[in-house]
Formats: sequence, structure tokens, C-alpha cells
Amino acid sequence: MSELEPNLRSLAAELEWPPTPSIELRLAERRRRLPRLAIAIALLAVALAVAFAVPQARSAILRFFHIGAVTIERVGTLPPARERALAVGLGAPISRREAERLLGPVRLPPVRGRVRLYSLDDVVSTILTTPDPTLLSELGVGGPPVLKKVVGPATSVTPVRVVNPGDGLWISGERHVFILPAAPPRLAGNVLVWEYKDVTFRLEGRTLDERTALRVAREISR
Amino acid sequence: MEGRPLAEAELVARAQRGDERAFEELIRPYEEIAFRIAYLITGGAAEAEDAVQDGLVNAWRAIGRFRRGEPLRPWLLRVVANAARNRRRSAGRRAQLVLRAESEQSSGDAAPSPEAIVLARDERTRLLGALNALPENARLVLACRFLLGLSEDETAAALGVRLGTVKSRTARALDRLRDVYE
Repeated sequence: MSELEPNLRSLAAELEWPPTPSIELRLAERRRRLPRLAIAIALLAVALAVAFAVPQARSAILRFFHIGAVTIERVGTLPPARERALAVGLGAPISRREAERLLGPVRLPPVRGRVRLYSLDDVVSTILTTPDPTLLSELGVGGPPVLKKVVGPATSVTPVRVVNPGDGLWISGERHVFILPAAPPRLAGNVLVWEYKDVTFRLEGRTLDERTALRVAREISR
Repeated sequence: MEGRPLAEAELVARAQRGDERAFEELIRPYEEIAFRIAYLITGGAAEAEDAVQDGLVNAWRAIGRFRRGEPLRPWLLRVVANAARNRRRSAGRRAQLVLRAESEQSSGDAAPSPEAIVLARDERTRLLGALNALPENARLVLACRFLLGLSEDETAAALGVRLGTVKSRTARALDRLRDVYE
């Protein structure tokens, strides 16, 4: 160890930090605001569900939508993106224990054999067989990456019910662009995004249909 | 038992049953360190405060999934740091660490000469300047390890990276700092 490390440690006592604010009070204020916020979100979900049913309203309303840690933007022209295999860019392999440290309990549908988990920027992913390869990703509470999906006019986004009304969105039709901050944009196929117990799930497969996606999602969310 | 602080495990159990007071008591010892991590990541006190608020609300919502028996501090710091990173995306600036004013610093047991004080102060200012000039990843890992005194595990949790990454990033960051400073 050089002198650098003790010198750095000795700096710690001499730094000027901004005063720590009164966190307790603000936390209480936030909690009181939550029911109102929850009502507002519920009303917005109802409004969007109605708007989704009206074709002309879709492009106007769906410019920006948010579910869990995923943001969806509707645009006229998709940004440039490449086709890539589902298993590319999932990050480093991690053990289930490491994954649970990031997420809490890792939820998987019943599978045979060993499941390989990967982690990139706190997104834990695995490839399932349903029977075709399907990518399942889970994002925990306050997860740093806000996954972004950019959809064009020929992609439909439909609210679906996985466990509770409005807890999921089914994105299908023409490919859309999937953006994870740590990876280059890529084209994505059909996707189900849903939120369950503060975890955002994303299921993607080239041949994935809505019925299969909902079945897998319900197996995971119970 | 009355008046005696409850053990962390008991507070976690109570918070998991929905006891908000227990949760507040649980997080109180970590407010300062959480705020400082958020400050390092967001680059501003106001953003850091919002990030801590976001993080603690997230932690409250997720406390049911916290594994009893695991240390709380790394988990909590990770949740707050995640909230800070989300805030920082829009802010896009970094905190410049500064030394406290001369009069507020402790002078130690023996009073050093005025020249020694000036020299020591210059050295510390130079070291801090070199640290502030490092690339963000390098600066953050060194700040977490040496300025905030986080363990490697806690640093991994706060930065959202693996333990091995903390070790390698720390070694590289020290090399870079040495190049600039020494």
C-alpha cells in the first residue's frame, strides 16, 4: 500500500459536505402524498386504456408511457438499431444468490435443468424456452436503468391484465427499438412488460404470442 | 427493555409487518451516508436530497423482500444509489469535493508550525484536485472506498457493480491518481 491510500483516508475528515437534510420529515410527507398519487396513476391508466381502444388516439397519446422501470415512446420514424441475438449483451453470468442480492427473490416459471442468469446494470436476465428462445428480464426496485422502447406506427401497444388490471403492456406487430443504457439499441420482437410486487418484468421472443406470454407471466407472478 | 434501541433484525421484522416507525428508526443511522453517496452521484445537494427521498420510499416499498439476516446497510445504500443514478441522468453534473475552511479543521495534539500547516493544506488541496479530475467511475470508486469508508461489498452495492469490478476499478483508479498526484 502506497501513501496514497492513507492520505485519501485522512482527507475524509476534512471534506466539506452539504448538511444532511431532515430525511425523516420528508419521508412522512411522501407517504401522505402516496394515496393521491396512486389515485392519479389509476385514473391515468383508465384514460390510456380508453384511448388505446380508439385507433386515431393511439399515436397522439402513446408518445410517452411508463410502466415500472420501462418507458415507451411512440415515434413516426424509428431510430437506427441493429438486429441482434436475444442472448447478446445480457451482461456477466451471476449466481442466483448474487441475483437475489440485487433483486430480492428471483422469480422464474417452472423450468427443467439449470437456469443461467446474467446481470447488466442491475437488470437480471435469463433465456427461457417456451418452446422458442424467450428472454426474461427482471428489474428491481429503484433499478438504475430505465429501459426504453421506441415503437413506430405499425407496432401496437395494448394494456393487458397479468394479475391486476392494467399491470401489463403487450407490444406486438412490427419490430420496435429496445434501448438499455449500457448497450447499443437493438430491434426487438413481441414483448410483454408487466409489474409485480415492485419488480418490472420483460418477456421477449421472436415467435412469442400474447397467450403464451401471459401464461408465462402468470406463472412467474404468483 | 424500555428505552433501549431495538436490534436491527427486530426493526426489520417490524418494518416488514408494515410498522412505519420501525422503518424510520431502521434507516436513521444511514441517512448521512446515504445522502453523501447520493451527493457524489448526482452532483448537487438538492438532487441528492430528492434521490434519498426517492430511495427511501422505494426501500419502504421493497422492505418486504429484504432477506432477513443480510446486512441492511449495503441493501439500503444500493437502493438510494440507484435512485441517485436515475436523478443524475437528467442533471448531468458532478459534485466538486472541497476541503473545510481552515479554522474548522482540528489541529491535532501538538500544534504544528504555520509553515507545516500551509504545506499540509497545499498537499491535501492538490490531492483533492487530482481526485476531482479523475474520470467519474474512478473518482466514485475511490470516494466510496476512502472518503466514505465503505467496504468493498458496500461499494459494489452502491455503484451497482460486482465485487470484482470494485477491486479492479479501485486498483486502476489508484494508479491513475498516483500518475497525476505523485
